[in-house]
Amino acid sequence: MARHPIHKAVNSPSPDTQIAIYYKKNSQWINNQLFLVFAYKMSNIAKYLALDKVANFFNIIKQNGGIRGSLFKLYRQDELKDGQLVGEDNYGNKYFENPRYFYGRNRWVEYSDKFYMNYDGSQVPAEWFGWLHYKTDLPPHLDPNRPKYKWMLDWNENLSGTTGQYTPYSTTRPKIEAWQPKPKSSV
Amino acid sequence: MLRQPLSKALALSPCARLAPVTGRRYAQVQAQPEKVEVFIDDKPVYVLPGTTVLQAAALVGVEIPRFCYHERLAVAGNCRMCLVEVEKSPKPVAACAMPVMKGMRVKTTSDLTRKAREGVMEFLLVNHPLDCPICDQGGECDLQDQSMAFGSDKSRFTDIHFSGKRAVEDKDVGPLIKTVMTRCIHCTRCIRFASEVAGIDDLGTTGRGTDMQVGTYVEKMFLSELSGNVIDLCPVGALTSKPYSFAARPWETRRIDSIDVLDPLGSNIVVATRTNEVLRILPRTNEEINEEWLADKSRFACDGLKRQRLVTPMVADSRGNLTPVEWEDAIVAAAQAIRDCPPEKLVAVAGEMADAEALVSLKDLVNRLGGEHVYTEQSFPLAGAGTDLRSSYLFNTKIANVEESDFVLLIGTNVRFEAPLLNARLRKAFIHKETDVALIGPNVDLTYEYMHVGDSASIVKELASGTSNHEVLKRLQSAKRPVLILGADQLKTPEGAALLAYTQELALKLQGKLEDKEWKVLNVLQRNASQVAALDMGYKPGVTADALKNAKVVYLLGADGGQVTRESLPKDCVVIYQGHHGDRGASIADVVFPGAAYTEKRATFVNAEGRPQQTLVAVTPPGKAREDWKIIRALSEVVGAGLPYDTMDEVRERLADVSPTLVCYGEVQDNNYFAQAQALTQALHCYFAIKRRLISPECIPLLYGALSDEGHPVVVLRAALSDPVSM
Repeated sequence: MARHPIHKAVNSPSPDTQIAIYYKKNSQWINNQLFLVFAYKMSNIAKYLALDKVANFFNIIKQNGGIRGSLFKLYRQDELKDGQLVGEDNYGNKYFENPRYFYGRNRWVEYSDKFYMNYDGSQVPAEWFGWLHYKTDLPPHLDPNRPKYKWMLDWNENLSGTTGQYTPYSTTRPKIEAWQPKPKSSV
Repeated sequence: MLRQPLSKALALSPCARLAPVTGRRYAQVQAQPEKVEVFIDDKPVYVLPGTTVLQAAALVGVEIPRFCYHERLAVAGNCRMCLVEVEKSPKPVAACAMPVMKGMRVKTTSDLTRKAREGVMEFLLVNHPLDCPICDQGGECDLQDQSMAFGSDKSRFTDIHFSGKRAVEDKDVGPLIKTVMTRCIHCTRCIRFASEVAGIDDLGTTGRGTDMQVGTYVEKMFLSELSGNVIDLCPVGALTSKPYSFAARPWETRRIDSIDVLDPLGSNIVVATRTNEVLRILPRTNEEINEEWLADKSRFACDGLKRQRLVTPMVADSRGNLTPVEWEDAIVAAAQAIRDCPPEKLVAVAGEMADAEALVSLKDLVNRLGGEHVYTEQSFPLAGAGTDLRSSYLFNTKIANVEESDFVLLIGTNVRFEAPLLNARLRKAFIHKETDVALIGPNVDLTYEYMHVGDSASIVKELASGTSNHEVLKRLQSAKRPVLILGADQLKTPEGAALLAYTQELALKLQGKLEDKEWKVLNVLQRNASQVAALDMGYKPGVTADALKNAKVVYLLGADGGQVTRESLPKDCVVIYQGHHGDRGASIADVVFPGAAYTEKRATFVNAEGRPQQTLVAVTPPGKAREDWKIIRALSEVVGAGLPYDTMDEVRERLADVSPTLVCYGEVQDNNYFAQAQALTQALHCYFAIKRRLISPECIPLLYGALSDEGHPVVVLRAALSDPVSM
């Protein structure tokens, strides 16, 4: 849109007066413009009636595997979204993107089904972390500069709170050593 | 501040040094020599001639600093710390060695005295390392305390760059005592203790002047059953406890007065704890039992309280392996077994460290169910009076009074091993008084000379019948205060009844002729801390094979003596074990209740004299372990025979109902039914020939590593010995 010369005016009257002057000068053109906008909106009548939201809704249901599938996902993830599948990692986690959602909500991960309800952030491997957190826009499989060596370890999720957790051994003697009964022969 | 409290210092005079009350009752009343008047800091005091200046000063509350002087040891007078000014004396005199003289004026705060002390202290510190921060004696060091109180306020020591401080090689005297000989100030207390009290003349000095060293001449262990006492005696950190080294500072520990249960004497102890852990055990002065000494077993066995412990209730699973369960499950399992068991097949066996509260609860439980089978592990002949008369199984003379005796006959007992502090008393009486000792039994080393009569039990018979022509009979008959001490281990065998009967007869014959009608002759020296209480409340001594053969449920209350084995029980017999250590008893058990050890409960123990004393809670029982009587009380509820007491006070009321002597803490009741006991025995005609040789345990001083795990009779100790690495 071309800048109106009024913006360049120095020592001009107050803005209200300016608008009034402007409108008086250009009323014909403005009225035409307003009409055009209105006509355009009327042409997207579906959108005007929020019917596109309905369409989105059905689209989301469809993408998430029908009503049953959607209910399950809603139960599991507390959220239903539609988006483009960007990629999948070695552990079965799927990464989605939809620019329609605002920044920060437009990239997400759906954890592999094998985790069921026990998913957590540490199950995202390091190579997808950057993409998921907007450090990079290139997902790992599209990024040619990523180093890949044989000696690189597989990703491990955080096992704290599980039986597999790391416990440092104590170097102090227990104050009381309990008696261990001798196991009897199992015969 | 000196390590001796004032109350002890006040008791320094020779007459008060002996055991008070009971001990003095039999002392001959001698004509008291006239007291002399002396002046301590111008305060007049009347003392007996022969009293030292230091003792006289203590009487008026003036404490003279000292290092070498110890009230229970001979006076050495070599530390010079007790120098005081005496009027008209050209030089200051050593107060510990100087007897008072009439009209003597002692100045303990004069300039001369103060200067003398400062000088002595300076000389001591010249050759004493400045390693208080890493010294185990720090905080309870006489040198530290006295240098603060009496030392100079500034140092003139500049020799560090010239000849430096004296350095002395450390001595290796065994695994119990750590030596840092550079710290030694040559007070010679350890040497005097070893030769006077312990009777081991191993310690001594070599060299003179700066080169003087205290040691064992050739490297050898300090093999004494009382060796730990030199740690307490050492005024500096030259001799410290090896197991306790670098463990704690005295101001960090809590000290709880308690009673030792590892030997039958019930020595008074102080349990030092920190963060719910027993760190060390120290003796507590009780003139009637242990004076201020403690046997090594009692002192060093405390780390056994941390190993091999039962910390959770356990029940045997289908394979017979004990698995940890909750209290509820274990009690229900035990209660089910007891409920299904006919009362005559329920057998309870009490071990050697069972306390009186647990004993009475267990007996009440069995009796309420209709059973009568309550036993102790240690046996005692039941023929004749058996255990009905208390005098038959007690140490009637009392420990302190042994010193007053003029002839002691030991029958089948190695006192040095069974009750080291009683042996120390006998040695003290032998050395300082006119007491002579004779022994029937193996010729063991008792640390003092004695008359060895032989090792056949038939000698007792000959003595009792008067047919013996051995010198010992004449000595016994002429003695004014004879004492017979019979070892309880000899009464285990079938001939035990006869041995006891003959001993009773002999004792009665001797007693009849005595002028002192109060004097008790007969003594039985029990082997453990629970036996007397158990017999007092009617436990049957010695569990019999017959009772075990028919048992359906066996309740072991800390019974680890090996009397009850799986082989002695029927196959389907349920064994319930309650105790604090996993040992023989727990390993044959189907249900295990973790109990509290003696440092973890408030409980009553009756010593060999029949003196009830109570332990106090020093630390909490580990894990899920509970006080013993409470376990039995809880079990009784589930069995359906609830015991009528809920608090410790109510249990003790019950104890008082059973026998009032059990709750007269610290007191010994006199027993006088010797004649009746003997008459009952005689009526049974149980006398028969005894020819057996008496056997008594060899005297092995407690040394880690020297004993095998299985060889030692005390559970706690076995646990301590099983892990020498921790030392």
